[in-house]
Amino acid sequence: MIQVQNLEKSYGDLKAVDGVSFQVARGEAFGLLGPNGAGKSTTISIMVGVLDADSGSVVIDGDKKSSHASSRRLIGVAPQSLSLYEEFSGNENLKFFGELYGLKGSKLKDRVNWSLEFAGLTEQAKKRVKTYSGGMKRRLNLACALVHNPQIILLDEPTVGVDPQSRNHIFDSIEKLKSQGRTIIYTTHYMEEAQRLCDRVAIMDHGKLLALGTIGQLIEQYGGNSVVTAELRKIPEFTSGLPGRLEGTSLRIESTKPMDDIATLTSTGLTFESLHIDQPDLETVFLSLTGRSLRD
Amino acid sequence: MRSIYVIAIKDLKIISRDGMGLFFMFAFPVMMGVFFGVVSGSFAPDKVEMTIAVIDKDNSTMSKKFVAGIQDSKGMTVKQNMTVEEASNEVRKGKMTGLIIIPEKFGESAGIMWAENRAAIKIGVDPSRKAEFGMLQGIVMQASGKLMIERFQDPESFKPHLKEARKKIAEDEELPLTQKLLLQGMMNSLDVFIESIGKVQNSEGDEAKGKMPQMELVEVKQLDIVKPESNSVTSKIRNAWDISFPQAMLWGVLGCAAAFAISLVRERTEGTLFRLQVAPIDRYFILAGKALSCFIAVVFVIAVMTFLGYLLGMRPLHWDLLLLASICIAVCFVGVMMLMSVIGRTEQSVGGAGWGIFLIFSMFGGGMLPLAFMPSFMKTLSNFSPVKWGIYSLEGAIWRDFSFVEILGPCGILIGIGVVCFLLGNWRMKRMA
Repeated sequence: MIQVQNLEKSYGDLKAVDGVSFQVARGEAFGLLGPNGAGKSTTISIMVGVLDADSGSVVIDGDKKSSHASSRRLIGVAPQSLSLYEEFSGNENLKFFGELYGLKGSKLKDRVNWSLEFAGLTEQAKKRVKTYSGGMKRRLNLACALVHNPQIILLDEPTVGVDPQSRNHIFDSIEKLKSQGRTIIYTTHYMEEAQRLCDRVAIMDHGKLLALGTIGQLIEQYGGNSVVTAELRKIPEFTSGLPGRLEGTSLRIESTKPMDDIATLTSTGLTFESLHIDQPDLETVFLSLTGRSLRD
Repeated sequence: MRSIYVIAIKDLKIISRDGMGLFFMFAFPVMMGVFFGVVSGSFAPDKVEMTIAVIDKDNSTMSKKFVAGIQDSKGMTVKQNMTVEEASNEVRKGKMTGLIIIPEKFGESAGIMWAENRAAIKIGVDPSRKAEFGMLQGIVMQASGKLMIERFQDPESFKPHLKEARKKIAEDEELPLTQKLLLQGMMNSLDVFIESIGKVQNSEGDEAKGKMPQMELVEVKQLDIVKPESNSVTSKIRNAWDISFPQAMLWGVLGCAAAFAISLVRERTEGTLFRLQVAPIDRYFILAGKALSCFIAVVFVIAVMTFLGYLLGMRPLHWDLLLLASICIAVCFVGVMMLMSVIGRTEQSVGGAGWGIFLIFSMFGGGMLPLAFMPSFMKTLSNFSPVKWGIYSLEGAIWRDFSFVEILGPCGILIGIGVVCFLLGNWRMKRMA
């Protein structure tokens, strides 16, 4: 559906996007994960044709350039900043953006109503946006991206600054879109969001794509071992055959297959006061790739 | 093309909900128009009002006639029965414009051209009101002229003065003979003239004195430079609102341009411009939509101001040229708006700097002070202000009686400024993106 090939973009000496390439299949939820300033938003801006890349290309739906009107009709963008007209009501915002995409008449009305319902804002439709809460604005921001019924949805940090209730509403909405077979590109610096919503994830930092794959692949490749920490009820008589390192009653095992190791321990008759498994996640992957935390 | 219309309507809706923007587009310009109209109306010669004190130390028939002559002047309020100290204090405090002191024995020589040892009239004026001093001098001269005519119209009282003058000419040994002859000839002529007036008055009785043809030293009439061949403009159309409303309209236009420049920056800072850019429309359509909304707003503001001006008494001479001027002003300020919107990155910087620049444009362009009151170097600088050309083109249509060819000059300059500013703004906007 989308092919990004060797994108490069600089602002003076700063290389915002440095040789980024990836492909997104139809119906896939693709995550762009990276800290603030990693180059995610710049990549999105190039993908939708707002910025020109210094080099490289973006091809959408076979052979269309992203700057073409026909490919733009396929895309809905929810920008990171709340891009809404505060003096307009939710209904007026949706109507305006729908009209920009050529909708009119009953079709426009239907899509506006659908979008309001999707965002859970039907009752607040006629209130001015400036009276909305942060979460309501965020939901409307997403609805404005969907009003023209796009096949590709670009969501740039869609949960920034929202309350847990709106956050869950947004997650549910995105999962609903995913289930409808829409192609979703989701940028975030929250790994748990990427883990919940994305089929594949690309990790970016300093404009470069550091790793790309399914979450399992990335963890397997870059996450390292799981760590099992077991507090034994008593020190075993024979310790030489035990995996890991025993200090007093505390046993620490680093393993790629922690469940197998726990099964082995149980079969030897050991009993545990407590058992804790630390599995690697995308945070660990990012730490492993960059040497620093995602939220640094 | 529909997207241009959609964007324009959206912008107009947003502007219509912006209370402060509307104030600067409509209420503020009307206030300016009314203010300037009242001020310029009060500058008209027949509207000047002055309060002066007259201290008559002579208290003769002629001095009373002199005071009556001053009181006859339009807009003049004369206070009498004050001492010099009291009057001076009132002038010093700014409660009166000035004072006139009529000296003793004023009546003896008043209205006689050749009187010797004439008692001088003294005029004192508030130093901050020098313009009125000149006007007061003129009024005193006018009242003195009336006294001279008064002398001619009373032959019996004038004859002794003629006789005295004739005697002095004859006794003056230093006077050359030729001059003596000339002066005596003049006195003879005056004798004959006075005799003739006396005979007319005697033949028609005492009432004829009051029916004597009124003599004036000079008659002054205002020349109507706007319509040399007709007095229709002076008598029916032209008034202070014709002068002040073009200024007011330009204030409204500046308010419009500022509001739209700020709204364009707001689109950038709030991210809605990004949404417009990702929509399936050409970038130039977005700008065209913005330009169209600003254009409509400017024309609408001028139309509303014209309507209000009309209600107050403004009577444009050429409605078609007024429409043309309005369109050219709108084109100009759409361009200026575009350039203003990129002079800063935030609403605050564009709002602050934009209004600052507009105030300078207005200051030099005649939006605050009419160009006529400016020194020549400022008049030269005013050529760089679109406000000047805007006001000039509106004045051309409203009261300067421009022909179509004459208005093309300022209109061409307005369009030129608009196009250049639009291109610069567009170029800068691209760079900023």
